Amino acid sequence: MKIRKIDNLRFGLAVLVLIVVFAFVLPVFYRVSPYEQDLSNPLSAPSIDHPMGTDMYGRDLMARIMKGTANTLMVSFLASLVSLITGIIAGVISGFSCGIISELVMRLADVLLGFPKLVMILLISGILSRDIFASFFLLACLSWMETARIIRGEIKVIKESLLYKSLVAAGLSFPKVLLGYISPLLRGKFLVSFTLSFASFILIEISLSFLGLGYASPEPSLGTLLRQARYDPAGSYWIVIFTGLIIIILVSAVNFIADGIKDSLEENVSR
Amino acid sequence: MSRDNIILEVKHLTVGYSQKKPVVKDVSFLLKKGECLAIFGKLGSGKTTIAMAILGFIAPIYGMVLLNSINILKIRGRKRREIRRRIQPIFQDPFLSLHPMKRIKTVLEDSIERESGKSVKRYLNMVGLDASYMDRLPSQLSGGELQRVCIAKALCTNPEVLILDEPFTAQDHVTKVKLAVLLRDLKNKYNLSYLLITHDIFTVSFLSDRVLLLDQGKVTGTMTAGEFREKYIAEL
Repeated sequence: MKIRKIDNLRFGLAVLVLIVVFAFVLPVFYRVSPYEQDLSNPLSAPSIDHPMGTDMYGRDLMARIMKGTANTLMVSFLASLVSLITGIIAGVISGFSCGIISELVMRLADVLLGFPKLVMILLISGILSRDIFASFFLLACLSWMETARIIRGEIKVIKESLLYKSLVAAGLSFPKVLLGYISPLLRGKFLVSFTLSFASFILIEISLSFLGLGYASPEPSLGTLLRQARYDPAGSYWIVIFTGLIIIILVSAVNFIADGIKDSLEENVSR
Repeated sequence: MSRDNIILEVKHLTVGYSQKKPVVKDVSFLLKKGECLAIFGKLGSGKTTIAMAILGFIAPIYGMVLLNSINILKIRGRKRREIRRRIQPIFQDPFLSLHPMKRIKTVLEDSIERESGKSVKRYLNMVGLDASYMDRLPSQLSGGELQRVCIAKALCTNPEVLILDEPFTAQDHVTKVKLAVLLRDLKNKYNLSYLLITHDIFTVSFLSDRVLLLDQGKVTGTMTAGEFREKYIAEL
């Protein structure tokens, strides 16, 4: 049982590492520009010169998928990080404060959770059109609610524990208690929260770019590549297949990691 | 009774979640320097609630807690943190009182007053443990050893009062006796004051000098340890 659960995490991590190598390391050796057009060679099928074929402007698809994966990973990673940090801050404020502040933070979370996420995403992207980093930063700042709820709940439990009482009685300062003693206990929760929002932001980036609200052409991302495939003639199957494969593998790997961490945490608790 | 000798004074302490139904009702008592006062009562009589109110974890509805004549419930901020260190709790489950990922050395180091210049090793020796325990995690220690570490941790703050909340409940009988002897010796050697909270007759008769009887949140009587032994041990 234990081996199977740890395998989830290891498998996910191994696949993610391979994708990261593909997106960030391989381009150093595969010296083909993802932007350079070759109009004499549009929509050519996979070959030795172009292992994943070319798009309608003759651009090398493999170079574009590498760059696109890197762009998607980068923006999703940064957004998840911002979302995690804002979630932790809100959760800590709400968990440690009593009465009105705690309630205020949680009611704000309820309001934001009640707002349809898709509408919020489209609204933000519409306002900050074409500035993908600003859009995702704002989106991440408004995606703290789940993390904050988890952290708040954990802190409320810890505050009632004998451990917390003995730390406070020993006169340890608040930062020392929080950073030295409480945060190591919540590390697993942070990781699960981060990986789940990472998977979610990858899909958001792909959806937004697919709708034309993400990365602007000629900058590739997994979403823009998929969008472009819609306009290509039916015969050019390779664009959809290679891009789709990367998306499925990437999101599955991140979900495997989140499941693996969750399982190993549950195992630690039951032990 | 000379007031100079009084270290902790609890006056008309009333604690509860609603004013109409307090859990602890108008409890008053004095604790002298070097004395062990036991609060003895059935489960649910409000013993631990009194301890939590003294430690500042529950705000009382009414009453005062005076440590060296200072009402510690009124003090806020940094001063409160310093005052808190003078009263240390020892809880019944030592495993839940220690951080599972922190080594014993770190736990004790964080509690030692920097200016005291005393070492972790010294405090471990005081409770009968040697330096080899410093690098261990709580999961590598037995229940009795863990409780000794908790006592050492409490001593690190140079306390005047130890609140012993059912300190031996999670221990087997042999460990219970050994820990009781350790606590008695520490009290005599360092002139510590104990507020012992328990429903265990053995612990009361072995450690305490005076006993406060508590029932349904009210003090129903006080007696000396001798009177307690006569009454309860004879009943057994």
